[in-house]
Amino acid sequence: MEIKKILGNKSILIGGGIFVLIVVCAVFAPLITKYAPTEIDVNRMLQTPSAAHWFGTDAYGRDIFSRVVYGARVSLIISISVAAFSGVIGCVIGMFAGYYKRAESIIMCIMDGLMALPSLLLAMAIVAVLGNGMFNMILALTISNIPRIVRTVRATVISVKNLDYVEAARSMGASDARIMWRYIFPECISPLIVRLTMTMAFTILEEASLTFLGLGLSPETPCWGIILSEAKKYIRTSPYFLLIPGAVVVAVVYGINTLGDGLRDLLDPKLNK
Amino acid sequence: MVSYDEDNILLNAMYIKKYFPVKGSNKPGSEKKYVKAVDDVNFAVYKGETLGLVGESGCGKSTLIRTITRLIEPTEGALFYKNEDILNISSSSLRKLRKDMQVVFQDPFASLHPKMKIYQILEEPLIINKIGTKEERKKMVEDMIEKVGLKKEHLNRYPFEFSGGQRQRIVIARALITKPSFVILDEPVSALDVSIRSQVLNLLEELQQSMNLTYLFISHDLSVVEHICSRIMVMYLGHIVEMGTREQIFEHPMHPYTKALLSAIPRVNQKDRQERIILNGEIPSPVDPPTGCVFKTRCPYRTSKCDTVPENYDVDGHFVKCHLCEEGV
Ligand SMILES: Nc1ncnc2c1ncn2[C@@H]1O[C@H](COP(=O)(O)OP(=O)(O)OP(=O)(O)O)[C@@H](O)[C@H]1O
Ligand SMILES: [Mg+2]
Repeated sequence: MEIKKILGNKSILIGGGIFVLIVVCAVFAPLITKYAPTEIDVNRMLQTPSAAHWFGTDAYGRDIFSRVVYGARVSLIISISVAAFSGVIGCVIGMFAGYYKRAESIIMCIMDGLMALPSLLLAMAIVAVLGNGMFNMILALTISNIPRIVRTVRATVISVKNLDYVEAARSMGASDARIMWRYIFPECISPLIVRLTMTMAFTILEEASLTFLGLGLSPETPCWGIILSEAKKYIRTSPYFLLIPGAVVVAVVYGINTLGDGLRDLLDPKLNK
Repeated sequence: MVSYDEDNILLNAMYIKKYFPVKGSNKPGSEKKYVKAVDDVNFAVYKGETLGLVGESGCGKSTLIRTITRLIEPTEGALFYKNEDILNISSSSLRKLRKDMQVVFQDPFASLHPKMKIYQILEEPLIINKIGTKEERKKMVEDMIEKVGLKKEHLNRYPFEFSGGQRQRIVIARALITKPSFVILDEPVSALDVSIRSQVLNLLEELQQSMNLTYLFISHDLSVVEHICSRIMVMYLGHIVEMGTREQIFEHPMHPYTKALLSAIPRVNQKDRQERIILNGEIPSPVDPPTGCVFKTRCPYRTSKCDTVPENYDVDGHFVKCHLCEEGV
């Protein structure tokens, strides 16, 4: 029954398909590319797309297809880590904020403060302070994504915590810890999954934006922001340097967002109404 | 027979108040407002009795029981259970107390976790209170489900697979599985069809006999309370306006509100008919209850005295909050 429902949902099929494709490409990157992403070859600079170089080559003669595929690795590692870390931390904070009235005002005050800053700006500031590197990048994006997750979880907790069956558990003598874990947390899972899918899509864009601006990762790293940033010099002469990798980013983000929408339809019918 | 001696008191509630702050009323300049859901409520529950609490929807019945079970904190008042001051006990002894004092909630549809099987639902109170080993718990769950008239096969199902009456049996089983001595029943039959009501009421009476239970039975309908309760309290707008034995309430009601409730019950026997009192107007908002007697806005016998708060008159253990009783009417 569940499988039928999943297969009957177009958003999940399309979004999930794109997502699986990109994961497969990232995992098997060495198998599907013929050139190393950092392999410089002065004899084949700035070539247009061809059978040998599907997406063409860049100013250093590097194969753009390889770079895009390896870039997917970087993007996925970052976005999955960010989703995981901000999911766990945001969920814990959100549960406390929703469950304990006293914790709520302080926590929400901090979260609203963080949300008032554009998250890209916040991430830029954190990276600027901490310096470049994959870990700092993940840390910066995690911090800037936590407030939205806290909000989602808190809203669910508040809607669940006064339900009769939760109050019944309390009246049986259940401890706060048990109530949170057995009665409230399970209700948070669906909205959390939906939110984290959106977080991933958002993180991919943010990571691309940061690296496009030259922040976060060293310029040799094959990642989407850097590819796009290098391509922008040639926008007039060879626009496909920019357009093809750009289209890949758009497709991936679109796919993951669509997947999130589909999951929401499937897991959280209430949210739509 | 239940003894109404002072030393047979199970629960003693004194001057219980619960005021909920009204949202948005604490803006500067505006006076802070409260929903006075429960106001100065005094009563005792004696071991082995069934005490009824009757009142219209919204008069504060559920709030009162949530207060006396400490699911919410009272604004004011004192509470003694088995002579222990339960407003000032540690949270761990409070949890132990909950094993002995169980609640059957109003809505049998909302008070069962939709994603838990009946077995898990019934085992939960035992796990929470660390009762028995896994095998012992299994046996207790199986015994209990049969006691409430359901079958072992039902344990593997989810709540949505049951009818209202069956769900209420499950809720009752869950409340009784820890062998409590005091059970609070919040409108246990209001959500049920009239045809199944008496089945559930009979079940409750049987269980009371076999398990030696004390009940606090809440209802908005006097006719339901009549069959099961030995004493009855009548609540109006957060106040207990009349309290007495079943005979006192049904045969000699003194408060005009009780009389009005009684005259609304259809009677077959002409002789039993009370003078008919039809209440005019709506129940006032608990945010701005009338000053003086809370019932005055709807009372057919209103006099100028009603602008002052009536005392709680005691006529042979029959308590009435009404100025009419001053002269002993
Ligand atoms: N948490 C709360 N915050 C604010 N007001 C509340 C709260 N809980 C209850 N009230 C108010 O207190 C009053 C009494 O409510 P309560 O649920 O105790 O009534 P009730 O007698 O149980 O009614 P019913 O027969 O419908 O169950 C109502 O006016 C209600 O709006
Ligand atoms: Mg109620």
